[in-house]
Amino acid sequence: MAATTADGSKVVGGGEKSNVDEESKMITLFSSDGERFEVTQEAAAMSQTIHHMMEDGCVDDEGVHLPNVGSSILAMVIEYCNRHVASPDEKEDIRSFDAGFVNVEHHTLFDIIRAANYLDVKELMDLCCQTVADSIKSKSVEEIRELFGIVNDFTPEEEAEIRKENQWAFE
Amino acid sequence: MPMQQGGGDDGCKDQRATGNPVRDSGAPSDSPPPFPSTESPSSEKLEHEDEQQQAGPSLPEDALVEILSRVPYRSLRRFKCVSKPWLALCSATDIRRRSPQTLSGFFHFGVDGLMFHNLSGRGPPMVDPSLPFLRRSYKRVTVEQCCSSLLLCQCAGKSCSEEYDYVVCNPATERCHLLPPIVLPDGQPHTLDPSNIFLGFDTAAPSSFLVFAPMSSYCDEFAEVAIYSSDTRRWTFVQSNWGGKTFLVGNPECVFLNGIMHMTTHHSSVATVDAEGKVWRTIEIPGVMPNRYDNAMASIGQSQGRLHAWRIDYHHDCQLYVWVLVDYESGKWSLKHTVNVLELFRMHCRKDVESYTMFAIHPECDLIFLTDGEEMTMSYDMDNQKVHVICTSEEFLGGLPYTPCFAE
Repeated sequence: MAATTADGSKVVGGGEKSNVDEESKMITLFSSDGERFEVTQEAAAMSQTIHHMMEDGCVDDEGVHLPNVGSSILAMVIEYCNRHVASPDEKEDIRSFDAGFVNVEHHTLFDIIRAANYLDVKELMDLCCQTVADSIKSKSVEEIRELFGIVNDFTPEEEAEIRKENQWAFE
Repeated sequence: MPMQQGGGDDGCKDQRATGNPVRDSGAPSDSPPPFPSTESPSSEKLEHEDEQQQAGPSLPEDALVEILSRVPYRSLRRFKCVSKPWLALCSATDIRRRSPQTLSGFFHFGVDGLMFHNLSGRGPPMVDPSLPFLRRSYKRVTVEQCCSSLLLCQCAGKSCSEEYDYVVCNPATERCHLLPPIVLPDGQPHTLDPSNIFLGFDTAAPSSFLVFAPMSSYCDEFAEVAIYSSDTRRWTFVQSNWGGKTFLVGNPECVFLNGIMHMTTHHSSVATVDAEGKVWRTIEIPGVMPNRYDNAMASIGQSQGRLHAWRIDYHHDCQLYVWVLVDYESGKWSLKHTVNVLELFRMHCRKDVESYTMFAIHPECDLIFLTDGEEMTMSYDMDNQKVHVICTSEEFLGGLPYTPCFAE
């Protein structure tokens, strides 16, 4: 997934602070807490959000600021993208990498989903959403509320009515 | 305050693989706590209008849609109780359409007519067996066959005419398709024989179905087969070419797999024909008795994309044999499992052994369904030999397996 960026054409003059290294085509990303990450354009382009920014020439001197993504999560997303652009054809390796990657606590998985959603990394979204779906499918209604931090806004009567209509799903 | 941290781990707690770094605190550098939302709120000022507020406990709706679309339909129905926003999401057509479906129960006949028995054996039926959308138009409805998600119904009482209409319907979407009458090339009408109509439907291609109607000319010899396609809305006629007498057992003894209709015959074989009526085959079903004619009748079904066949050997203690067709081209079967049915039902001897039957196999796993024909029906897992009783009365003694399909 090579980045079809505006190579050089939008680089603001004054090369020493250029974030686009012509040799290895790197791009700088900044997490919400100000940490700096260097990634190849190819890996960064797995994020459709960043890909479009690069294409539209919205990447300035400094790099891309991602105010919605914290450093630890961004690091993980970058690890995922790096791994996937490195050897996209090695199915077995990638499968076991993915399995290990999502083997984290729910709140981390949710953070990754938020980041992947914001950054629009489809493969990562699919992977994480499938993982969450698999882990929640057998959960009870109460467990779901607890997991997602949802407040029950039904009255007891309303809830009883819905339960009754869908009773077979509770058996 | 951002999402409750403590409550969410029940699913994942046991999942940490040994040897892997614990990700949620293992940032490359000494980074602050893993939740970006716990940090200075000012850095949270969102510049992108479509991004949900990070600090909230809930995931953005896009993400929830992606997750719920991958949750099996049964769970989706349960999650309607979570909250009002979730009720809306879980009822959304596009999520429901994508949600993976699986066997949810069986249509069967009882004293009150057509009934539906949930797979779990408990609770009110998840689909209304009275098929109210059909009853609006017809007084009498008989379900002849259920092919995965569609029903083939013989309907009567629409007008003064005593003739039957044959309707293929989807109970989940309530869509109906009336089969046109068969008019032979010479202009003569042909009355459909309800025991010799075979419905073919594949959830992989949900927008269409086929109906195969072998037309017997003499003594159940099928010289011709009429094939109906819901795409063309026409019957076409092909000469049968099974090479010899083919006494079909009749519906619902059939399997539609990979675009080919498979029908059991009275002589322990499977007669197959494709959608165009070009490829005709007969596949022998393995027997347990040396003399072919002593074998009890075999039944077929499909599971995990493969044709399965099974027989109970009533002469020898009610032993059940389940085979799977491992090589479709050569017709080679492999014995998948064998178990003593009397032992399963905890019976030492039984007068009417022939009332024990295996009536279905689960389309996605190694679960089979058996009944004693009198008062007990169960599922049996061939993998771990676990038995689960589905019914302990004469109310449900087997039926037609049904998997809902919401695709249009």
